[in-house]
Amino acid sequence: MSGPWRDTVEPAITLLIMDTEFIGGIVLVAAVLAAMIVLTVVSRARIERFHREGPRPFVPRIRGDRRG
Amino acid sequence: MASHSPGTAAPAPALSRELNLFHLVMMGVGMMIGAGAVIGMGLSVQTAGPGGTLVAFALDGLVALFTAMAYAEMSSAVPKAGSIYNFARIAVGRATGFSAGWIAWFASAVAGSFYAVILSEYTVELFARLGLLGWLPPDRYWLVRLVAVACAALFALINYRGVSSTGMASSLLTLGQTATLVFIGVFGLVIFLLDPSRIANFKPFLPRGWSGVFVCMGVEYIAFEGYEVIAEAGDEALQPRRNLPKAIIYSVLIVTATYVLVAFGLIAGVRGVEGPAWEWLAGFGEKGFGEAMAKLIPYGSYLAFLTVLFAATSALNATIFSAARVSYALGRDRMLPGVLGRISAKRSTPHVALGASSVLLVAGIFLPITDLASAASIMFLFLFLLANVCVLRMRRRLGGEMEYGYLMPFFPVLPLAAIALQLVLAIFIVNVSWLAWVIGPGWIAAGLLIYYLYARSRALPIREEIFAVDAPVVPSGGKFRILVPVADADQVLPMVPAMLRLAESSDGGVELVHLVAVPDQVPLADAHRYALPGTEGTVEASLYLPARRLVNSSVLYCRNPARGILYQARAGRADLILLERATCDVAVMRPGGRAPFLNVLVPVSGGPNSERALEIAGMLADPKNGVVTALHVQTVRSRPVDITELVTKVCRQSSMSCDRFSGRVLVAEDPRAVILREAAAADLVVLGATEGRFRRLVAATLPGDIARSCDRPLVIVRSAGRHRHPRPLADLPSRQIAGPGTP
Repeated sequence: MSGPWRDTVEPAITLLIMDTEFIGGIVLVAAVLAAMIVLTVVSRARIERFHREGPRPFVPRIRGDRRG
Repeated sequence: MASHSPGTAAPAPALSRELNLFHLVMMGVGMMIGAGAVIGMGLSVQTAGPGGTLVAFALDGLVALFTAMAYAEMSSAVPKAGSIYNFARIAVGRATGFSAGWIAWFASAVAGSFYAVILSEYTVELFARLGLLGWLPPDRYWLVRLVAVACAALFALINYRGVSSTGMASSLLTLGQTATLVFIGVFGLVIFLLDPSRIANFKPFLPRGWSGVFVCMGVEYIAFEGYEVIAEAGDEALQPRRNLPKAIIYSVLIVTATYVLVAFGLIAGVRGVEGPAWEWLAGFGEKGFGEAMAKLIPYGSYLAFLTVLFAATSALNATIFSAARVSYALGRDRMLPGVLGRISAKRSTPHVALGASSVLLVAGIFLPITDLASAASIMFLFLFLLANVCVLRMRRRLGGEMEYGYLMPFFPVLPLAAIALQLVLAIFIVNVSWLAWVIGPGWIAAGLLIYYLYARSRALPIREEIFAVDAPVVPSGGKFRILVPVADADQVLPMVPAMLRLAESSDGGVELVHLVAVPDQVPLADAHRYALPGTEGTVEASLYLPARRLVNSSVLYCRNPARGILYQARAGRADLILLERATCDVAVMRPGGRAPFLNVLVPVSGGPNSERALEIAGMLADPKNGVVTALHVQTVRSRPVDITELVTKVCRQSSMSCDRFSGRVLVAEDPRAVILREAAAADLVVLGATEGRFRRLVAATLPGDIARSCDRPLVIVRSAGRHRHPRPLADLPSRQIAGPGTP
């Protein structure tokens, strides 16, 4: 490794990894954002499916029935 | 759109759908982006510490997303006039609907007070920094409040005069605002990576513990209100079942990510202060954003001022708008005194509702800032809690009858979790402001009292909860379709001969549409109040058209008539619009004279507009004796045009006889003078519009100049080029184009 990486990014990563409180907090924030993205992607897929197949009424799911 | 028998009945009304996914997302982002990261930064750090601020923003975003998904589901099932007021009326009942409207009114007004105070704080601070307030006493409480009142009055006036919050300009403004915030966040992130010692700014990560995080979440929840306005645009959105839920969910995700990024960048950017950075930042309270910006970027405090100015301005405008709209709806339905449902005869805006909302807003300005933010947050928490109750009830009671464009996943876990979390956050607010807990529930209790003592017996019967006329467009039966926007009888009647000529020449039909511009403050559901003489004009014009030439006539309610015409052209698959621009060929006509057009002049310079102008001229010219002259004025700089080839090409494409066309080329340095001289002898002048958006933007155009100077009947034609409907004039048989007398 040379120059800029060694002087800047490497110490930053070392410092960050050492700081468990900070890393823990950032991981928590990232996890929350990731959960939001997953919900958004799932929602988008549902919207597109409903758009493709046409709007539908809500059918309560009966045990063992996957239609709901 | 409901059809009507030509000449026998009044045209049917319909709504104009103009907002696409981008507009809707920007509408939601614009309503939200003003508060959280920009204004509440200092207060958040004060309450939760540096790391706590990041966690609080992210978790708030997640809770807001749960509620946003509830809004998305309801708006996909009821994609018309979908405010929480309507959702609650449909899903639960009239009392809950009233409560929702009552809470929304207060929440919007108090949020407006908060934004007015913030706008005032930053304005006064800027003036102080410029040394303009040295002569005033150091205590600026009253100065800030007075400026805030002035700001509120100004925006109330702007709303009274009528503003647009949904256009492309406001979308671009929001986009610019978001881009600025993202830039600030990325700048801070880069600085952090280049100087890792700034990690000290985040220590301790949660100095106030998790209770601090929850308190911050409660107080900052106001930063996530605004996306619900997207649901209110249900009757104006394109593909509402698809675009409304998407836009609601996307806007919350975009705003949350932006808030977290900006918070990180600003905290990381603080350098060279005494003591822990977060304590320094927290010490400035609501001015923390500006101070942190000054440390992050050279002249950052001025950039902060501009950012806050834009953010608070749009937020203040939007909250006044929302407060007026919901109080107007309550007055209209007699849930509150009917005077609130009045509309100004002069400005066509709900002026009484606007005035009442402004009074409420001004009263809020004199509350302490923390109590103000807390009161607004608590009201929005109650409102969103109600939205989750509604989504549960709607599926349970009406799920089998509704048609959903989206069903939220993990139902009913997510709405139940949202209800519980929002209740917890509301309770935590008591740690910051007990007054908010007096004001919020007190307002709700007063509302219930008003409902049972006043509104219950007076409220109008629920005629139709969701008003929208969205009837199908009448098919043209394969005919060439000419769309004619109608303003009133005086405007449309002189155009009837041209309509008839175009319809006869193309064996097509005319569709008359009267566009009614409705102010933004009034829901489109109430637009029938604005249908004025255009209806009469439409009926009158239809009397002059033979039944076989009139395809349809309608009244279209819209915010923007130009966009309304474009919507109608798309929906009705128009081939030609007479009077406006569109994605099909457009002919804008200035009528005059009653005689047949024997001598038609067409100045040409080559290109598709010239070709289309020649084609239209051939259709408009008298079929027996009419002559079309294509005139090209050759200058030193203009490219030469082979006039014979042009005429032959047009005649071949449109299957018209070339005998009626002649071409002339004149050499001169002043084309305008030559064209005007030649036009003086013509019965009709047909011009192609100038091509090139840049050219139209930077310079006056020759066709526009000639149109202004020429006193002859005139038509400007613009070709749709590649966007044109795939059934061009050329496909029609020659006898239909040129008339029965043409060989």
